[in-house]
Amino acid sequence: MSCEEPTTSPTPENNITVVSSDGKEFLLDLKLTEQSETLARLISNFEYDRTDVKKDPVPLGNITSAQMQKIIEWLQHHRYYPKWEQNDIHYSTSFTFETWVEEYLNIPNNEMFELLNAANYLNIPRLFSTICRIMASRITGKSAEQIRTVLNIKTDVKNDVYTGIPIQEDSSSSEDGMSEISLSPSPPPI
Amino acid sequence: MTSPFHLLRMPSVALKLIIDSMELNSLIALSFASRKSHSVIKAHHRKPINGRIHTSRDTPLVLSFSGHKKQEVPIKVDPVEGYLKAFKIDEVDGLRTLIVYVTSLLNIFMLEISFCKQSIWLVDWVNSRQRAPIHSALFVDREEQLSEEQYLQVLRDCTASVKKWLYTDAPPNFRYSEKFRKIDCLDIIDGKWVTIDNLLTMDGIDICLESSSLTNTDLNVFLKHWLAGGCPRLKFFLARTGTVNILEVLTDLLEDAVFFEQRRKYTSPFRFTPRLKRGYDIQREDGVTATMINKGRGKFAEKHQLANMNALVYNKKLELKILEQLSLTEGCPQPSIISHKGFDNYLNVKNDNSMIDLLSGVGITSMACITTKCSENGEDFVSIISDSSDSPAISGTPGSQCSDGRTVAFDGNLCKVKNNRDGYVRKNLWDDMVDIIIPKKTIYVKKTEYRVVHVKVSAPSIKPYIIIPSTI
Repeated sequence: MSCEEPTTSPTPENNITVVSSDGKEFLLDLKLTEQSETLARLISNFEYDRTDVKKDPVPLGNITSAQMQKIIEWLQHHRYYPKWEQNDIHYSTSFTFETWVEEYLNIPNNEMFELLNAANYLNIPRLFSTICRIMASRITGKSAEQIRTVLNIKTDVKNDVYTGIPIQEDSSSSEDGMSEISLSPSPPPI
Repeated sequence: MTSPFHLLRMPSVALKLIIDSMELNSLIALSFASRKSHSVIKAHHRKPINGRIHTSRDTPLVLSFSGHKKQEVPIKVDPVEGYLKAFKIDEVDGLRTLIVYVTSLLNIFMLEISFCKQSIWLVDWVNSRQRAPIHSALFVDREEQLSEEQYLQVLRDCTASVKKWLYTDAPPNFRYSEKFRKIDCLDIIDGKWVTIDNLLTMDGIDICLESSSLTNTDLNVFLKHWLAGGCPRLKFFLARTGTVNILEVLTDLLEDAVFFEQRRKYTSPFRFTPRLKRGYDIQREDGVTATMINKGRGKFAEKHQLANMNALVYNKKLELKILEQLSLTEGCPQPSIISHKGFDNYLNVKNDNSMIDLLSGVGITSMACITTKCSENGEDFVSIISDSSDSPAISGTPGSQCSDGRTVAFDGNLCKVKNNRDGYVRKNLWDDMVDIIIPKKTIYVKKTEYRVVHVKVSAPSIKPYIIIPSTI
């Protein structure tokens, strides 16, 4: 999967401008936008790949400049990677990542959360899937208590399932309004 | 990196992907984190899992749920096969709760149970919970003997469809009078109670009987049963019987038996790889096509109450006659029946049902079949041939008025030649029909050049091996 990254500087003919939510403009090579299904569809619809078409800046109201910068870094790194195969997304359980990816995603959880949302908005499946698998790997091997901490889950279980030992309850949980579950669920559908 | 990640606020598509990427024990731990996390997993987890729950006397502690302080209920995901193992749960309610919780959370069934005397209630309980049969049932408990009723319960009521291991001593004087369930692998470590009558009702691929009390005569009867088409899926049979007189075992079969000295290996898909040295090969040769047709003819005779319908024998030589006939046509022949010199050729038969209808004459005795492909449209087509017969059908109980030299076959509907092993009717081989009608191996044939596609079964792997101690 390793790819060389020849240096290419965007020219007016082969790039578009995107504008982040805080008003910063980014010049994006059209080649890079192929990794984002959202941008690729937009470029195709407005025929921005033609040189004779006037290209207005594309506003990305959900993405900050910091996130955009991070995303461009991802797009640059994967510029020459083969097209993402949808099948890999659902059945890859590998928690092994490239060193570059591990370093790239060595960021605080809240930034990871925002990056995932941005990847979802721009529909960049490789980035989206990688973040999901990174998150799954961070939960692996943890107890419920540790998971609560990592994922900021406020417990709403009043008593322990088996022992009846009360578990700390936080009535200010942000997850109010959820549906009740039974601790002795019915059999799965056959 | 201490800031929290708001997993449960993620878009649904992301949640699903994360949940499907998570390991089972992590999913279970996450489900205990909060009610919402539980319902999120239940709603989003769709990745197929072979859910298996094991109970045993062993006590390795692998993972315990948070908040579960009084009694450990550990769950481990087997690193090799990926199934769940639960240990040290003696209380029925505790184990039931655990199983119900996990299977419901992950939307899975129980595919496999391994249980001991204390958890024998699993048999009935699993039966009552899911309509789909479990894949495997492994009873491994040699420390405590089951009662007659319990042993019977495991044999009779356990619905495992693939693998059943009974690793426990049978109760003294135990007898089993019911038919065995169809199962791929049956392994009984104390098989002294298995009689020849039991054996003749078994339908399996691997059958292992340790401590067997079967006699030489029993083994001979079983071999003849197999040669006559009984136990059709069998690939490996082991009976540890103690002293064996091979001449008695091979009574009436010696002329077909070929002695071998070299080491042989049989790779079982279920358990082990036995190596065999010095023994006798007896190869069953039969035509799957004849089998399939006979099955259909048997049903036909039963439906129309035909007393003298013959079983067909597959005659490979007749394939040449079909080829001769096909050589007279250009390209793909139209569906047609051509009678010539005492034989009926059915060219370009459309499907298996037509095949049975065409071969419904009561008096015919032999047939052959080939699949060919023509270059005009690239399609495969099947042609069959049988001998001609004008024998009138006699109404009555199927098999009750066989012609001279014929006797009713063991399925009771067709007449076969006495002492003829080729014309038998094999049971439960309807699935093989696909291999005949649409052979996997097809040969591209140009215009009028045809080649035969294999329709005969003489699989070397289908040989009965009787593991005999060194007294041979």
